[in-house]
Amino acid sequence: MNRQPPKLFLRFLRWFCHPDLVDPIEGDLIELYDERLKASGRLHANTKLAADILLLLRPNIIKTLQGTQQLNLLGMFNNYLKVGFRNILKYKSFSLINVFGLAVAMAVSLVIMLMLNDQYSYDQFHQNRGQIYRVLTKFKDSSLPNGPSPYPLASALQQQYPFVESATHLLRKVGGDMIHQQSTNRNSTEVRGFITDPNFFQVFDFQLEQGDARKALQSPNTVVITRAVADRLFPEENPVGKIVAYADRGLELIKIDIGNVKEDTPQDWGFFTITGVIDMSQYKSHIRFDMLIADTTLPTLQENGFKNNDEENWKQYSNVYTYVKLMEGSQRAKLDAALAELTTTNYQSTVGLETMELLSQSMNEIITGSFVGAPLSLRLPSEAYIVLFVLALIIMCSACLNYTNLSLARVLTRVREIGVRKVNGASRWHLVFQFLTESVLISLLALAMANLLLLVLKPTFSNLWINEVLSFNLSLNFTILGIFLLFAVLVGLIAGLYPSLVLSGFTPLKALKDFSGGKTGKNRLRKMLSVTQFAFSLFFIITSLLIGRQFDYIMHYEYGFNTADVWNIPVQGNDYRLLQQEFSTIPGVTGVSASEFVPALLYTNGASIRLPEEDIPHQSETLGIDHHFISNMGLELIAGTGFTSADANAQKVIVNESAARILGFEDNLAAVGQSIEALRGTYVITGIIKDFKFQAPIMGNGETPLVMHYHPEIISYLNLRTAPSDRKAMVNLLAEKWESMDEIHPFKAYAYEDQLQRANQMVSDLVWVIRVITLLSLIISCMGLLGVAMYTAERKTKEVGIRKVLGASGIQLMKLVGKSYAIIMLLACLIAAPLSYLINVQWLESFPNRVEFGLGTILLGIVIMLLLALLTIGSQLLKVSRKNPVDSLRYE
Amino acid sequence: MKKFQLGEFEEVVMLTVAILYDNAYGVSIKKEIETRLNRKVSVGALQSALKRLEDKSYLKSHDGEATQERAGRPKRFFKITALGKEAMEYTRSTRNSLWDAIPGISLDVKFSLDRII
Repeated sequence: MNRQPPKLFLRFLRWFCHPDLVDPIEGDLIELYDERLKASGRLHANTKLAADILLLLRPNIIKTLQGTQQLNLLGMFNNYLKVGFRNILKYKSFSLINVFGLAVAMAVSLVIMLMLNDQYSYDQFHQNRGQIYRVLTKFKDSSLPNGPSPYPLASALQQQYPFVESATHLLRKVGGDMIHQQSTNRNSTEVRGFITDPNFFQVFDFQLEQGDARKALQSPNTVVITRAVADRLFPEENPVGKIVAYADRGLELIKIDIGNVKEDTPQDWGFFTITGVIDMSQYKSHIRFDMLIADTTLPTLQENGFKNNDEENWKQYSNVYTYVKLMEGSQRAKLDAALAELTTTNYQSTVGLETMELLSQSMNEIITGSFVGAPLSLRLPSEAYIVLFVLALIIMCSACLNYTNLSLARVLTRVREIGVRKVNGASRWHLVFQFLTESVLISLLALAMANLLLLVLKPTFSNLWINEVLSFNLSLNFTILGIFLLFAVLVGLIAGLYPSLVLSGFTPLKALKDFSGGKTGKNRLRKMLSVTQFAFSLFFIITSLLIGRQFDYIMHYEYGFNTADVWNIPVQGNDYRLLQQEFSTIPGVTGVSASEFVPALLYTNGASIRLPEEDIPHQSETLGIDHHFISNMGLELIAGTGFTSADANAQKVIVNESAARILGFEDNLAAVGQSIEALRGTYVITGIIKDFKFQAPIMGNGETPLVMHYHPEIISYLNLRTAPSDRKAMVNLLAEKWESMDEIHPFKAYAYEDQLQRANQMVSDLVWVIRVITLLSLIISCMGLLGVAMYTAERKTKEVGIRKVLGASGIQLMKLVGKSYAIIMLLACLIAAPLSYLINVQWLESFPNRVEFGLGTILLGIVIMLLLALLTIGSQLLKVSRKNPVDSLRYE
Repeated sequence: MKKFQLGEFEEVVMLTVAILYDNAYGVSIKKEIETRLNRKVSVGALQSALKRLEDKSYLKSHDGEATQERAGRPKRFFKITALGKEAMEYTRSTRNSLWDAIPGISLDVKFSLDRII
């Protein structure tokens, strides 16, 4: 009989057990095994043995990680760490420069990583998100695709193509007020959302908290609301089955309320039964809504003229978002082929839409992909991330260059150590490993500091206006912390790679011999690195100066009409003429005009115009106004007459000079009295107005054709001009008047000047970001320079001392040390100045309104950089030249 | 601060090693404890305790001859050191002094039961 215990068990024991203990323990186990084998059989003995061995897995029995042959590396690693720490502590100023520089750069990179992480966490809750696609429309000659698509698309895809599991459409521009009339204080709330079909819940994985998803959107006049809306309308009540009244104002889903958007008059859509409640706070999706109305309601709405019947209309392509879920295993190519087929059947022979294309966009690309027109939610397009990424990369490179540069400069301090290690048998790769350990150590320290900086940066970033719109959630989690750690290690490896290769390359003989005469090629490389760094800095300074000037220009932009002391008041569905009458009685109000929307903010309304005999229309913008508008806003009529009160709804327009020019009239006078095709038929031009800046500065320079018309029903803003007065008092007066006429809607008024400022806020945030990055890059390169200067100054102490004793003046000494830096600066200027010009001209040209960019800005940038460099190096030079020669000669 | 660190199981092991005198090695100690105290002892717990006691210098060890029945593995015999003896005596005396300090009445179970009933 085989009396041997299983070999595998004992091998395992030998593997983990401390070598001092293993023999007697194994002996004990074998002895016990024998006894058990005799007493109760093999199986029992085997299980007992296994249990015993497992129970031997104890800290003081498992072998330690030291001392064994294979683990010698670990001992060396400990040594490297120790030496690394000692070096950090010994050269505190250098370590500080390195750690701080890397930390600043890392903090910026971390913010960008957090932003990316946030973006990639959208729409992750859909189980089959790989199968969900949105259909985009795009004209072949336009650069951007649009989010919306035609209404019939969803049903066409579902009915004609078997690989489509389900398709849903979301009708946009549905938003208004929802009122719970039975409640004691008539709870009401503003809601925005879609008209959609029951497929919504099949395509997406939104779950209803209350109600049945299959039946929720089936019958007419049913609505699904969100938990937030339910809490406002029905506090402490079960909302399902309750009835609410809804009045639609055609609100857009994206709320950037700076008082610029055209508002529709409220339409009473009647009563709706609530069939479901959905808790949107659970879902992080690009689709945000407060309510979903069943599309079976549409026929009633169409009867009442609230909505057009687009069910068979392929030409209307901008009102509906279409989402498709494919069968499991279906390829995107199939969907693309289907869309191509639909494009051919529906658009190839449609006049005006021949170049229309239908494109698919996967769910995963919606948040992270490039920008589309009329998006469902605002976010930074992928292009913006590329820019941010490049900026972060440049800063990161700058910080890494610092490390490389300083490590190379400090070669002397390490050379003996390298020699000794080599003589004791270290191979080159051991040394590479050692220096990499050190750089990773520095980089990990920097990560710790970067996290502290992040604590400061995050709130600042969250307070930016951009973030109000894009709603970034920059919270940390373990995955992202893990990524940070990896990132830090990687940065350490990159920064340390070159110095470690160079330092480890010394032959022991050379290293142990006196090394002070080290004028080798490495110096040249170091200078090149400095040049690169300063070239970057100069580029940043010039760019930042230019952006600053451009921004100032936009902020103090001359609009060509008088915006001071003007209040814009949304009429919120009231009859504007009544309001106009009432407001004009308020003392201090000098004029009240009305308009469709507020010009020069981000909103515009396009239309095409043409002469009756022309075939091809011209692109133009339109603006609905009343007969007071021109005089009230201080616009200049250069030919013909303005509107009179009798012109309401008349087929008359006022055009601007640019429109007259594009229509081909010889002069402005010739245009008056001519008819053009625009908007809703034929109009007669009654007046020509001098071009004024009716577009936001980033959108156009006002030299775009503009057609102004007078249709009272589209008016949604009053423009109130007041005598210069106290703003608060004025608002109070206006609000009082408003409340006497409209009890439902809260009074809203916007100071025109503030609105203009808000509209340009995006630009100002961008400027802020770029300035911060410039500053950081500057700080980093100056610190690098400081480090090198400090080291050079230290090394030249003796030389300077001797020269001083022999009678050299302070200026001469400065020249001696400063000469090499002058060359670095000069080279940096030569490289960066033309480069920054070429690159900056590119983006500047995309601005319709821009400042001159010439030698002045570049020279200013160079001067700023030189001054900064002089400050950093100068302090060191001064220190050296002032030192008492007695002290400097005693040095060493 | 305690002068000698000796846990309950460690004390049991020390005492057993003392009982076995010349023949105190892994298996014999294990069996002795199991028969005398009627409790299960795993090889792991025992070896770990022995290692601890040896690290504290309460025990010293020497390897015996390799024998056939143990597939050539030596027995490791343990002996109590002078320090170990001191530690045991210290533990015993502190325990005794605690016992002595108990007033007789508090352990008179009958009396306290009377009070409760």
